[in-house]
Amino acid sequence: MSTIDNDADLRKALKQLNHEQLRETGADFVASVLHLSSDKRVAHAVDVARNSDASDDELLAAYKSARVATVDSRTRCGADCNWEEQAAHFVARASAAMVAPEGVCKAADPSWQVVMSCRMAQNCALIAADDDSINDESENQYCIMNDYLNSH
Amino acid sequence: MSEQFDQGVAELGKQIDAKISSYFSSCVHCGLCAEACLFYTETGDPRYTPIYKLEPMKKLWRQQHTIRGKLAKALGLSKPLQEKDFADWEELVYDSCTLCGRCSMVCPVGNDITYMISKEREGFSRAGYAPEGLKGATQRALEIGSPMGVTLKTVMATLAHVEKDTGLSVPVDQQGADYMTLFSSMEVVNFPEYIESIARIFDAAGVSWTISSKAFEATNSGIQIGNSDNAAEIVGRVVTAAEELGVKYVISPECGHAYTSIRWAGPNLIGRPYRFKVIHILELLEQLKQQGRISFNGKTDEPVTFHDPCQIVRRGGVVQPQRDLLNGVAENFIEMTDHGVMNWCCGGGGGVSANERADELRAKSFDRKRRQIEETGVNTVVTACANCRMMLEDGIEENEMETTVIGLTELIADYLVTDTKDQPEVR
Repeated sequence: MSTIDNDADLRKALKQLNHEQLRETGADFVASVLHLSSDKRVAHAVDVARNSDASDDELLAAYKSARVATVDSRTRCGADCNWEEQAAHFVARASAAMVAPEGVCKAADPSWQVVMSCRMAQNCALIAADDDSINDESENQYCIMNDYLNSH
Repeated sequence: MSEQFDQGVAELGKQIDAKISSYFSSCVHCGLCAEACLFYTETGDPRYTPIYKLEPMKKLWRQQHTIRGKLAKALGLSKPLQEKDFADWEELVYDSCTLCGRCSMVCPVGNDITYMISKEREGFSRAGYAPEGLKGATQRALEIGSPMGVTLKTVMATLAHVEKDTGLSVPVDQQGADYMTLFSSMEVVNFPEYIESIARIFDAAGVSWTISSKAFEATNSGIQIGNSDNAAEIVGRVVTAAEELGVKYVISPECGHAYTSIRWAGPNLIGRPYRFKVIHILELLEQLKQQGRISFNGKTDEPVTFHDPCQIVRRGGVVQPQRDLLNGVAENFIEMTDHGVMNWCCGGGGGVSANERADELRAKSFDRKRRQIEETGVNTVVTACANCRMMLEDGIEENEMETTVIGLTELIADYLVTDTKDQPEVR
């Protein structure tokens, strides 16, 4: 029975997973903040990541599309930041790292980039809502990971 | 002619100091500055020749400071500046100049053309001939404290996120700390991993640091739009906060023009020396490495190249620290052609990235950077400026390149030894 309740254990658990499993858990992480994005490219990336029959070409196409969505959605330098749009940007960034074929995403730890980008998305949503409550996306992620490990 | 235009022309006249006069007198019309400007080299449009961007100022200089010009004006042979001159030149002064300083490097008589463009912008902005994006950014910087509308509350929310994820405390308003750290709004908004990285690095190195609740913003839109009064107001907030906290150093973040503003322009803007020193984050990281206070637990085997931010390298003088740092965490660091002080700009500096009107020209001018990257044959570009990073990522997507951009400070943090048992002995 998995009982992850901190980042160190979450990292450790992620390191035990193979690339396909990381894509599955990544899809679960992104799905939990997907409501913060209305970009179809991002939703499609989650669908592709969840499809165990997806080919390398499909994964690569979804990754490229999500990467474009990431660049399209971020706040340009000097522009008045819209935090709702910025939340969508971080969801897109998480989706790109999630669906990237092995070795394509150059982040030091793509699975951790998914985790952190989802948290930043939630953070931006709280800022947009002027909500002072603590961002509990990390706790949500521990639950997602526990559920995944306990069901596999 | 409007009153505002008259004020702009008067301001332009005031900006013509001894240096500007000598520069105009010295110009030998060789055209070398054109070959150094990516807006000219990538479009072939002679209007983008740097010295030509100064024609309105040159006209005023002639009429006010040369015998021939004064005579021509008196005889009606030379017309005074018109609103149309400013309207026609606004794009050249703002959209096609990133203040990168490459033209100044090649001028055979030593004219600092970038300095001249900055001075010309003072007149244009006073006359109201400046891009809307830059006007808005400057207004927000003055009213809110950030060109992107980032409030202290937002920064605190981001810091809370960083603290939760790192398990580290981010000190705020720590009286007597050694270092006060500034951020660019871009880091708060788009690259919070930079903030997390320095929290981890400073913790590992035992750096005494703080953030000020009164001045966290490093950027200075007043410098970019060309309004010294606004620029002085913005830099003055940082100076007041640093001196109230009694810090020894202020750290300029991974942002190009922020460094130029706070390190080089700041004391002139406020009219006195600081009671603290300014250090760029790359200089500090290299010092910490030299002192053995940080070390790395490996290197990336991915071949990497480095994009030099103009304001940090060419205008700022920080050239070697980033190379020493990068060699510490990368097995295969390949320099671009024309790297270091002669590097080509990303195309978005000097306020160009905040100017939507300039997007098409900026995209075209990126072709130089595309070629530079492709010549190296690597797929990973490291840089040390949030704005450069955005511009590189934009250009990479537009050109469908298989390239990723990484911030140097984050790369350092990725390979940081955090277990004290693994630290080398401090000498």
